[in-house]
Amino acid sequence: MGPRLVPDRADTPLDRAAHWAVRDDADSLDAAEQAEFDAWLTEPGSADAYARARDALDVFDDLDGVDLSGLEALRKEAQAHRTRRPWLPWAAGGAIAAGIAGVLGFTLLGQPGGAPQPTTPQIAKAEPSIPEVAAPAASGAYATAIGEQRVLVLADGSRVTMNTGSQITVDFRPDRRIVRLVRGQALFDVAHNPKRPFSVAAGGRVVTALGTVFEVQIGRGQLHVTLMRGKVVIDPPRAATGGTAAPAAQVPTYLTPGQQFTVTMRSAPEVHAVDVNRQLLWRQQLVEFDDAPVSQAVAELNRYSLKPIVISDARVGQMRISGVYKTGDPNAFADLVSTMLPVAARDTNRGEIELYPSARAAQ
Amino acid sequence: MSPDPPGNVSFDALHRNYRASLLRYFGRRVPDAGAAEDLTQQVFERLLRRGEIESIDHLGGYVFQTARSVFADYLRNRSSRHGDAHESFDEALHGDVDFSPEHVLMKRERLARVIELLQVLPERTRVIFVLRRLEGVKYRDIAAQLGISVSAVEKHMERAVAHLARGLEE
Repeated sequence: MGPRLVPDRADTPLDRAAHWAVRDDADSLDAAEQAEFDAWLTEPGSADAYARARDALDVFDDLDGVDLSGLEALRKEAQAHRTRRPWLPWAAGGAIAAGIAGVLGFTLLGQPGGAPQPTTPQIAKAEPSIPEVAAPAASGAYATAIGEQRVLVLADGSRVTMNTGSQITVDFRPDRRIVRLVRGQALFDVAHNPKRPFSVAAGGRVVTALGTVFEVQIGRGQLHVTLMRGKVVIDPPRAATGGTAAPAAQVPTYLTPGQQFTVTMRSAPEVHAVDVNRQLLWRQQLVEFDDAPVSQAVAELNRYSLKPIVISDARVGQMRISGVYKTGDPNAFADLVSTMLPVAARDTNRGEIELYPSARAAQ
Repeated sequence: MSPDPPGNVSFDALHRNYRASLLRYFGRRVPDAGAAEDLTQQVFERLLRRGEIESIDHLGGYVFQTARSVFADYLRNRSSRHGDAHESFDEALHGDVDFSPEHVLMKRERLARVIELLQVLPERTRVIFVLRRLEGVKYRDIAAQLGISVSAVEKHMERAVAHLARGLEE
């Protein structure tokens, strides 16, 4: 490690707490510093000060439902200092994940805009390789671990295929079936029952279906709803229900099969056509990229693995990649990338795989 | 499980409104979801012991004060166990959304205060804090883009954090 940066002047506990919180945020505590940090924590006042410093560091992390327009000026000012590269929308979403995942409170302007698929797409049956579990209880919580996928068969016969690192809660009532997607991604194959609507709540929206197959994904500050078959309606954000600020126009969005609804913290919702079979490749433990930035591909692959791939150099993140890759095998991905691009891979002592520019790139 | 006293409607509401936020709060700070769940439970237990929740002004603020003190106690009690306690678990419990109006109001006021506090910082310190915490840029990338060292970036961050922590205390 580099030189020690421990403040040993007559700093207040809060100054020292700020130091430790920032060292932690920079992910650069080595073993010696960790020991020092732990020793410091036992001093009177340290723990309180550290909790305060963490709160200050994390001020932007929990802004769900809050109007973020006040942050625009700060963001513009900061962006003006970023000289090297334009901000890629998707990369931005990934970067924000560290800060504000799941922020989805903004005015809804949703109307179907994308070109609809001419015909109802055919989707492959659920993959037999995904283990099936009965979930007959009227209410409960279910989660998949990183890298795990599972098909839940609910009390009404509806099937929920959960992707990696996902969590849902089930709340079946006599008149309604409600599932909350707490995190991650799931495909819903809904048993038809017009008297008992089936709704998925996610990211502040409610997606309601009648005899439908659709997928919902949240994370990285975004919500995606993809309709495979049937019909769904996506309600505007629920922020107004509390009566604090009643947004004016609240227009529900209807999807037709093959359409995907996307909303991020920075943009109005939009609807566009997608290839549903490609969208569902995850059920075969595959993912496809089409001229995507490496940073985006890595963020996607990292959803499936406890051994994260990290990019140490922005140039690598901006390289483009295409093709179909296996999820849950970061080593194989890193090997492939390093044969296709001027990139090399190595294991770090933190249990990560680091992609960095190879000698070829430096020239 | 939650020690709901029968008929205590406001406690139910509290649980409903703050559970997801508290899980997320602790999820960022402790190494696993189980620990976050335990700490969340402790917050509710403390609030329950205090009683008369209805009479508290700024309930949301009180809930998070309690959360912070639970977290501080956790840090104090944490013996020499560490290691993965400082890995990033940002993603782990994100994705849930809590739109309880009171909580949203509290967050909105707090955000306005944060913006005020940031405005009085030197521009470079403010820009660095925003790039890191709002835009998610890595320390070394900020350093490269601003043409300064990583440790200088950390110094700016420390100043911003200490300043915000003092300002938010009021």
